[in-house]
Amino acid sequence: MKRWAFALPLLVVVGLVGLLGAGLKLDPTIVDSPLIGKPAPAFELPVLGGDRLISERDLTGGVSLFNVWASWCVACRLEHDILVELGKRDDIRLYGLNYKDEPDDAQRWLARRGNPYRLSAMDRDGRVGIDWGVYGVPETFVVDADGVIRAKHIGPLTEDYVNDELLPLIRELKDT
Amino acid sequence: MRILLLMLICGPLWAWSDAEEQRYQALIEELRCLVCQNQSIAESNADLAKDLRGQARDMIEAGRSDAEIRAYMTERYGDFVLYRPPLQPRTWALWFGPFLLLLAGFWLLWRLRRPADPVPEAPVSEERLQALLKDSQRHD
Repeated sequence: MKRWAFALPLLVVVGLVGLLGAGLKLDPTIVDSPLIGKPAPAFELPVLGGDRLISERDLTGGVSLFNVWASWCVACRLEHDILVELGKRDDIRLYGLNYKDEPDDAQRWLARRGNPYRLSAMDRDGRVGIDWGVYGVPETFVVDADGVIRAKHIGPLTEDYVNDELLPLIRELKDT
Repeated sequence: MRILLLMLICGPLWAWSDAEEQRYQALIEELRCLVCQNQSIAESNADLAKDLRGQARDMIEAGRSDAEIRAYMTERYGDFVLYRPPLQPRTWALWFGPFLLLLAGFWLLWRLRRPADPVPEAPVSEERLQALLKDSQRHD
């Protein structure tokens, strides 16, 4: 009894250290979205630079990327080139959610850098963003042909994410 | 006089009762700001915090219950948006773990306090004892 009584606190400490150490490696700024696997939240917003409305129905009928961006978002510039490339593909439709932005600023930003989006929805007060669980910019949602959210990426898109996760997912969605 | 009458009629429309104010304050203090994650949306200056405070305010004004407002937030942002994690089987370890560890610690202390089996002493005879004592005195 005495022998394993001494080992027990050590085991507990080692166990705790292991658990907490693993926890330290996690990034708390990446909050898992509860919307994965759920239908895309309904919305109806004016289109940037157009006179029509866009809704969640536009995200059905094919695999869509819904990219949250803004002209005031510095990190968005990092992913712009990747978005331009993705926008050229014919197996994805790229839509934007222009979040808490001024239409003039947004238009100017796209004019300067190129517009990769088919359409951008203008979410001026951020209410639609709240419905989508947006808490930072940029964020990108993958929506399948039935309008169900299949993935969410927090932060700028990276080559690694696109090659290792996004494209395989799109291929998988195409096959089903 | 007419102005007074108008105010009496319109008053209840934009009155925000003390009870509602209390509910609002309590709610915004238990919702986490996901941008400044160590602050509640009550404390945070982030834009998102401001928007969510506004959302909470609108929902209270619309007559939604606290539970409905919490559900609204967790449906969109997940359980992490609540400072108090929900009590569900998957969070039992989080809620009860520390108490269990404490109890385990107490149990261990209790077990270790029990005196060890007494070692039977070899009886020392009186003469041996005297001899030993004299011996130690001489060395001083």
